Amino acid sequence: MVHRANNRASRMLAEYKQIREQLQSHESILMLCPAGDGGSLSKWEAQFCGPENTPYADFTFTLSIEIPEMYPNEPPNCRFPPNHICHPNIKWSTGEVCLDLLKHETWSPMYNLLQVVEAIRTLLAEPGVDSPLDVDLAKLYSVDKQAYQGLVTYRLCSRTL
Amino acid sequence: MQLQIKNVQCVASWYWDVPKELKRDLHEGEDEDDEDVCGICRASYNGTCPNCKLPGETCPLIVGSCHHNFHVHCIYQWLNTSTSKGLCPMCRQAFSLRDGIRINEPHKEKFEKVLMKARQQNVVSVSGVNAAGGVDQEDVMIDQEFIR
Repeated sequence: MVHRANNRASRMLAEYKQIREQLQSHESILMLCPAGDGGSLSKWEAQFCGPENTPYADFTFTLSIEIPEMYPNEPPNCRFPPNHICHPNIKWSTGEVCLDLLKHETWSPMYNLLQVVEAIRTLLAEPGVDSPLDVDLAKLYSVDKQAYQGLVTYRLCSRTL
Repeated sequence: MQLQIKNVQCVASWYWDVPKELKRDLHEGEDEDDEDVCGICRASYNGTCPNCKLPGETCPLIVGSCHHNFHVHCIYQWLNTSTSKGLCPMCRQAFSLRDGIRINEPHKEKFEKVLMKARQQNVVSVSGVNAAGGVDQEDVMIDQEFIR
C-alpha cells in the first residue's frame, strides 16, 4: 500500500510542475489545481470554458477530479457538480461522466490530468451518442440538433450557480 | 562539530545510455534536449522509480520491443494490473521485452510470468467468466519479492 501512495504522490508532483508550466498554453482551461486537502494532491479541481460553436460556449464548468491510490495505473475519477451540465454522456442529476478514456479498460498511465480535462472538454463538442448516459438527449442530438442546442442552453441558463 | 564544505569535486557521473534507435519520444515535438522520463512515473530514466532510493542497477530500465522504455518496477506494476491486458501504456501494442538487450536479460522470466497472467485475464474477461482465482496469493508473493 505504501508503494502505491508513493507512486501517486511522486507522479502528481511531476504533473503539478508540468501543469504550472503548460497551463498558459491551454487558454480554455481557466484553472487546474489541487483542491486543498493538506497538500496530498489527491483531489483536484478544474474550471474550463465550453468549446466554441457549441451550446456550451458561453458557460464555464467546474470539474472535480479524484486521484485514486493506484494512479497512474488507474484512471482519475472525474465528476461535475450535480445539476451543472446537460450532455448526452453526463448525468445531469449526479454529474457523472461517461468517457472511454476514463474507463479502466481503456485508461493508460501515459495520459495526464491536462489531457483528461481536454478530453472532457472535447466530449462536450463531440458527444458519443453510441453509449449515452442520457438516452433521450442523445436521441435528440441525432435527430434534431437545433432542438438539442435549445434544450442544453435552457438547462444551462437555469442552473443555480 | 561544525563542518564547512569548501569545495566539491565531481570525479564521475553516469547515465543510462539509451541508443537513439531504441527509443521513441514520449511526446512528439517535445524539445530534444528534454531529459528522457519514464512514461509511467514521469521521473527521469536516470532517477529512480517512486519506490527506490538509489538510482542505477537496483532500479534499472527495461527496453520494450515497441521501443518504449520504462523503469522496470513501473512497467511491472502496470502489467500486473488487471486492466493493462499486457499492453504497452504508450502504444497499446502487446508489451514484450526486446530481445538481445543485456539490460533486459535478468527480468525475462518475471515478465514472461506477468505477461502470461495478463493475457489469461484478457481471455477470461473476454469470455465473461469471473477472473478471481487461486493465483492471487502467488502474485502477491512475486510482488513483494520483486518490488522493494
